[in-house]
Amino acid sequence: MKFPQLLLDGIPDAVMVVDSEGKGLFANHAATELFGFDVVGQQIGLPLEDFAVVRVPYKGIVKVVELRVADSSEWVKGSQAVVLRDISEREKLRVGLQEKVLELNGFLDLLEMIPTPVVRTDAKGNIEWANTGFTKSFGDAKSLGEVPALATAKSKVLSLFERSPAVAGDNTEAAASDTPGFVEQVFEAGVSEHMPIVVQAVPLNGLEDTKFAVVLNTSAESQELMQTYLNSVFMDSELGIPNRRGLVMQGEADWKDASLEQSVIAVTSPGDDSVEQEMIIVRLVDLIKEQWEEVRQGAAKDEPGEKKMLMRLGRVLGDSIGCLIATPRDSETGAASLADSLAKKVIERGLDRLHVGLVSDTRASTSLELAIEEATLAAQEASSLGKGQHTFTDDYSQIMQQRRELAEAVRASLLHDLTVIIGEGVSSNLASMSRLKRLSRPKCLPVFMTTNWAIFRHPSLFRFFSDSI
Amino acid sequence: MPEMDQKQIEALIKAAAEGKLMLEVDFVDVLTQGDRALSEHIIVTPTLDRLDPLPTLRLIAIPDDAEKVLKKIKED
Repeated sequence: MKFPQLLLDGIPDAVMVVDSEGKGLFANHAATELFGFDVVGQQIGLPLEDFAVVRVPYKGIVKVVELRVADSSEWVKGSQAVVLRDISEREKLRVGLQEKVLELNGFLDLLEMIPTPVVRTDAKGNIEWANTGFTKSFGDAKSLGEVPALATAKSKVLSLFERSPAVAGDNTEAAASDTPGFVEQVFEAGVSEHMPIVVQAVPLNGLEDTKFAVVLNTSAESQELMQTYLNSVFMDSELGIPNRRGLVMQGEADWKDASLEQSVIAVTSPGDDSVEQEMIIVRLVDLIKEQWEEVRQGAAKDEPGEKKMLMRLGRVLGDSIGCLIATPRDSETGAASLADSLAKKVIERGLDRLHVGLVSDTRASTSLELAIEEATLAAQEASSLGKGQHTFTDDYSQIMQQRRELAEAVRASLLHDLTVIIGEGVSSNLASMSRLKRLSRPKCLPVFMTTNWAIFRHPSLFRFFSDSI
Repeated sequence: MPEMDQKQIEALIKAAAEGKLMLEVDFVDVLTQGDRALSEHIIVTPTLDRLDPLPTLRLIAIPDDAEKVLKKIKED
């Protein structure tokens, strides 16, 4: 008898044997741990099914347990062996996935109802989903097919990534040395003396692979909003659920105003560009800032943040004209080529111009260079169809001047077909696009593209469309 | 009580009524009646106890098939 006991005690799954009356005859260590006490001699019960999912109350929580039953009469007549596996985490994941799917479906339903063409692409620029508004404007989305010249572009992007020092030398020490510059940026971006937010760099120990952490004094509501936002940014592409790379954790309260708590934002992202992460924080600060303003002005908060944002999105998109392309990061090339395909369609349909705003949400995107190259080709191709000039810019240091020139160029040229704006943060790009949209002529179909589906949740997007109405 | 367990019990009562079997059911929610669940030594849910007629019988891994459960309950 000793050998099976030793063997069964060594395996991670809980194993117990019940006699013909359902009383516990044997339980291994894992079973005792699972229930919190030894079940030998206890009236456990006769399993009626060979497989079932049951719940086990344990120290105030309820574990979800998968139960499999096998006949063990050869050992003790009438006995049954029960193998139990704690699937609580898996169940949480399943429920989370289910909720996410419901949320996404609800979101897609919402987008389906509005007349604005909206399309989502994969990393190669292939259309994954398009709403009815898009199909009505451009025909069957599938007919556009795979965007050309992407295989080369993709490999170039990958080689750029390989050369990137941020990826090659990713470690916490290096990240820490980058922190002061980042903090300065955050202060510039979102912190005002009237807003009770304090940003400071914190030690990076304690969290494996933490690129950086920031402490902010925020309200609990802001913490929730930040986590919602981080969840949408750090989405596991396969599972469709947050991959927990961005965490908002409640820290010790260290602020005079009792209604505020301290949040620690930790972004763990060992393969990504640190600039991208900085932008995420900048956007988070934007979110907090906006919310703080709402609180300050006593705005009514009768809807949960996420739902409220979706409602606003539906309203502003529903009233706007244009096309919104959402495509994953580092596929601006795909988006540019897709825009080119759309441009041809627009010209075929007798519209006299197409405005394309390509929104890159990382101002130091490694694919920027390629995006410009591809966008230029796309613009030239559109121009070769007999419609004037194209304009783009890639120099961040002179971006303001170029933006002014760009607006002038748009205003001056009646033949303008394609405007590509790349290389800045979301907010500034949207501001540029907003200006361009105001300059649009009646027979113009503006096309807006974004590299991040999560941008839908970004307040700047709403502001952009709101401004455009 | 999870919705599934509730449905299982409702199906059981309905099947019992159809088979002209008197069934008196006492629910124990382990989340709200933790002490009772502990005193009854309930370690997994759902657990179905037959208290009467004797001998008592305790079942776990309850199937959705109410007929199968009733058959087991009716066994001596």
